Amino acid sequence: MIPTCLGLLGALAPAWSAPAPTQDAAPPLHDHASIVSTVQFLAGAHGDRLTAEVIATSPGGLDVHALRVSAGSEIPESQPAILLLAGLDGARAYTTSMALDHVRALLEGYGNDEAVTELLDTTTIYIVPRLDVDAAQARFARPRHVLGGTGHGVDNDRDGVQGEDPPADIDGDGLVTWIRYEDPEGEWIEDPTDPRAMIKADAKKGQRGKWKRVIEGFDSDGDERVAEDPLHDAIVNRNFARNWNEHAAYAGLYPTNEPATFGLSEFLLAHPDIALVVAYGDEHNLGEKPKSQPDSGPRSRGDVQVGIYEADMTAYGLLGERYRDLTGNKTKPQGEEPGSAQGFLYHHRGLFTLDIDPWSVPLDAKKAEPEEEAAEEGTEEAPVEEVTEEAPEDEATEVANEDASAGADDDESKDEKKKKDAPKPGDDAKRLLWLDQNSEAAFVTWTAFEHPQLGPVEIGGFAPYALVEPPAEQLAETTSKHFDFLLTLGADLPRLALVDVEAKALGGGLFEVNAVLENPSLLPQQSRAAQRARSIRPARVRIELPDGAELLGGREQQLVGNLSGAGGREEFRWLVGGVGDIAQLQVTFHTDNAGAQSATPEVK
Amino acid sequence: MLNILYALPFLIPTALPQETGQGFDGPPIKRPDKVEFHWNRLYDYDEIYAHFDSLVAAWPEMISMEVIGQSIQGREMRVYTVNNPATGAHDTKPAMWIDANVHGNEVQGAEATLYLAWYLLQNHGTNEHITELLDRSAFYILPMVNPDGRANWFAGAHTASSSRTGYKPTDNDRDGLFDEDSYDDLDGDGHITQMRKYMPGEGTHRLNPDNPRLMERVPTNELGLRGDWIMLGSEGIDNDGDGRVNEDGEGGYDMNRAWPAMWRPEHVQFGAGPYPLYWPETRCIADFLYAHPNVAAVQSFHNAGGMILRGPGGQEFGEYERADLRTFDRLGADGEKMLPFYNYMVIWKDLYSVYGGFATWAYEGLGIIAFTNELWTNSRLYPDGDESGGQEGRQYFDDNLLAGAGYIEWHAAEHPVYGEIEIGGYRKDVGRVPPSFLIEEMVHRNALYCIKHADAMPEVVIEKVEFADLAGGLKAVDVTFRNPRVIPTRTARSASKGIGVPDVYALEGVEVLASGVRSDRWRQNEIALTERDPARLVSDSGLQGLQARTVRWIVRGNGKATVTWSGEKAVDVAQEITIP
Repeated sequence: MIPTCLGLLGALAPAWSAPAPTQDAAPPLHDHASIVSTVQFLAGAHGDRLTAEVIATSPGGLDVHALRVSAGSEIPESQPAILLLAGLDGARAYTTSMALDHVRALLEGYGNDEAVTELLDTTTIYIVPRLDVDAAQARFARPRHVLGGTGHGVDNDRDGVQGEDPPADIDGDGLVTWIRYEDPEGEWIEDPTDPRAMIKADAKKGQRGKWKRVIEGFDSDGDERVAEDPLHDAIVNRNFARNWNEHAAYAGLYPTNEPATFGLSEFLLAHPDIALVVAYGDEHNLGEKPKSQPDSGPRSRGDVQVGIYEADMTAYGLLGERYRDLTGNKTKPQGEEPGSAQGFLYHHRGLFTLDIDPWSVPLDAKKAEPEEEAAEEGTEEAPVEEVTEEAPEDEATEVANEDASAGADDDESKDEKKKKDAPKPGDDAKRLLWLDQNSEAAFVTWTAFEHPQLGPVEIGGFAPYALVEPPAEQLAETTSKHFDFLLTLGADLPRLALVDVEAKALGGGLFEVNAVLENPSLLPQQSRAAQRARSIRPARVRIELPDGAELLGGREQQLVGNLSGAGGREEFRWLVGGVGDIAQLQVTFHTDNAGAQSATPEVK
Repeated sequence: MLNILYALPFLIPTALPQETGQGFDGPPIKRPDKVEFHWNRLYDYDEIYAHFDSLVAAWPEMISMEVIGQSIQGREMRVYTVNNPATGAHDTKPAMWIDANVHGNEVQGAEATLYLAWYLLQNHGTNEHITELLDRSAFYILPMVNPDGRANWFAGAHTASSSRTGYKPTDNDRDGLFDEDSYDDLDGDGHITQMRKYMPGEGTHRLNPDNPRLMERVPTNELGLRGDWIMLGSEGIDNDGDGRVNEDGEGGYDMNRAWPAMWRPEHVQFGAGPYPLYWPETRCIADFLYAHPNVAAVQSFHNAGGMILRGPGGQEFGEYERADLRTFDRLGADGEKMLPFYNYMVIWKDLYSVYGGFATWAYEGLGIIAFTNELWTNSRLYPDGDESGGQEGRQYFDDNLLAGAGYIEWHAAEHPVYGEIEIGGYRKDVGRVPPSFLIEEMVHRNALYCIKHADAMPEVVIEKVEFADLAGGLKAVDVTFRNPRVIPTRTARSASKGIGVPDVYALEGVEVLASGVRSDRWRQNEIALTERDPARLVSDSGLQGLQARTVRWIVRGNGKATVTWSGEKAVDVAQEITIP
């Protein structure tokens, strides 16, 4: 679902000022100019180990770049590649910093660091540091806001006018935050554990909604809805062909109508050497127990089912475990969104796609001081004690029995009961616990304001980017841990090899030729998704005969659909007659992204 | 004489001339055509455009051409616009989009579009019905969606069903080689037919004892009798040595699976490509249609089978909106009456699942009432449409009504693997396209069916304006808008998905206090009140076909005012009124 807690803003009215200088943003974030200058600098310093191409130009006129980092300008045929995608959404503009820092670390590490050198000597690395270039510019704009849609706009409120009611900074605090106002139809109430946070009223618990909540803005068109018709609706990362949501405003006119979406789709087709993708965005499948689906896929041909195929869960499980060990990232799995690049990459292109949401506000922060805790428990105790004094005899007996079975004294069981009955903090309240200690500007206090159309309201809530962008102090550590993880992935890519290539002379120029094609790596040559999508070319095995020889057994050309990981093997046998010189016979295999090789058989 | 004829379009007559020497509207005593074509032939790519260009030369005000894109092999994608500019620019009128030949071998649709353009132009100014149609609506015609497919079908060796694809090299057998194993025209006759080999006593087939030109399979029998012939499939060689023959020919995809509604990838829907509108031929058409929201009717010609098709393409869609189904059904019924042996069918239910088809996208994505006609059914060859004669019946027709010209007799040839073989079968222009003498009937009937569909495109008429006095000195202005055509100004699909721009009913020139759509002509309080800006009633739901809608404006004041209707798919109307 579209993360409404982060807001979706259209491009705002022309009253915006020019983007603030980067020093205003927490360093080392990059606006578009900074991306360009950084890439130029690195290219200048590292020669043809870094190349860049422009794969699209956004509606805002900014270029989308794809970089290539390699050991040298000559890339061996069929060498596998890893694609790193960052900046997939406006909210995670910081992931570009991670990606560009990885580029720097790769280039500087080649020849100096063993792991980097090993990786680049065997693997090509493609990086798209920022796919959604227009959305990320909002990170540097005044007022600060989060941008979702940057493309094709629709008339959301069906009044015949498009884009007349976008979000806006109505209280002039330089931030587009949230409005809440009291309304009998409101769905929200304050979180009892922290009134700043809002939770949905639960009728089952006897809660009655009090507040309506909407993004900060005016009701410019007088239709009693605030900020419901921004200028741009289409979101780049909802415009891909997989599970595209027809007629949803955020999905765009048709899959790939948005230039960046088209550009990346074309880039993927042009680079069949890509064997694995790492995507920094709002989906996360390296958490524990990501969503899966059966290998057979959906029951009906036209239906679409979300989730990783069962057969691929082993690989994702192992990589996920390694990821969590190296980064400590506890983000829960977030499933596939309609029209996302991540979904397209896995389900349509068949690539193992590691969806990573590199950072989220921890949900397990503890309250700061234990004394405070005890005092709070004390205050909580009092009302319950009163209740038990007034309780009728049988209840008291029950309580006594419970105590007996629990084997605890009265006070402790009352504490437990209190804890059980006490309201639990909602996720936002948990986040506030952490943010209060680590990032004070993350929350804007709810402040009364006289809204020109809505009347008395309160403006406040989480500041833009507060929930997804790590504080500056943490970004460096997050980046370096993710780089460590990236360095481990080269060894997992399938790298096929011909082994045991032998020929046995049977007399009279007749030879039996045997060969084995093997996959020693963790990952299978094709994911289950690739097998279903038939999107990755199988290995093509050929026997090349010397002049005058004829094939008396076996096929000249065979395709090997899938070699499983960790030692999958396929055997081949041919019978060849009229061979003058066996040294002229070759067994070859060719793939797009798992190597290629020619071998002359060893005569046994 | 000819000079007078050029002046005729500007003298739209109320009484039509009897004998003017121009135009062809049906009677057998034929008057000379202004532009003459032979309708008993099929035309190659160049010829189709040359013929359309001759229409442009003959009627330069009424038909124009624009290039909207290029095919894979660099051929032009052209749209010909037919419109009478004297009654308005094409984009101020409802327009019908007609295309053909997305499958390269399904060629005769291009001739049908040519016939339509020619027929409209020939008859404008002389035939009242056609004159009225062309004055109030426009036509966008794209004769060849797959010009590469067509050109290659004509020039190369093909069957009736091959060259369906576009011509981007595609690795169908996924061996890393592109288009390396296509048909092989072993006898060089320009047709891909069947191979057989004489193997006395070892075969699976025998000659039909009554008609030795026909092959039949030998049934399994206890005596173990064998035939003398084996069948070896279509002319071809295993060019890449992978054990399969003709499995990776030129192209190898289906551009009618590329459209963005219920699009599914290649492994679910063969031929769909890596993402919607992948091939340039398709993308330029989509861009054109998005840029022309006045298109209110769509027809896309294919062959064969005699079908009038509508979506949904997949069962998962569910069913179309009921109001729209009534429109589809009505036009489908007309088609069955006008096109002998054609059936009105639902694609997924009556044919097979098609994900990403053009006509289904035109409706589901763009909200347009759209059909795909499969032109030509072999029923038409036989009296009473009786096809029960099977192979023998076909042979009888070919022998007696085509003088044997459609069939290539078995003849000897050499095959690198099989040795001595024989090759024979029907020509590529037999089976899916009409025989020459029935082409004109096919194109005429289908062109007139397009005209029937175009006739149904929406129109808004201000039928009645009434005034009433209300309390407090206020006035009620009741305007009845009627759509006398079959297709609504906005389909139910457009209304439910918010496609395009809503219609607007407006009253300007007087102070408006409230407004709404009346639902009861007797009880004035039965009214759906406009929530805000009452002078301007914005409506996602269209004015239904053959129905009227009464809008009431409650005003303060009197004198001159203007009531208007504006929308994307009908000519905008305005009327000056005087409020008493």
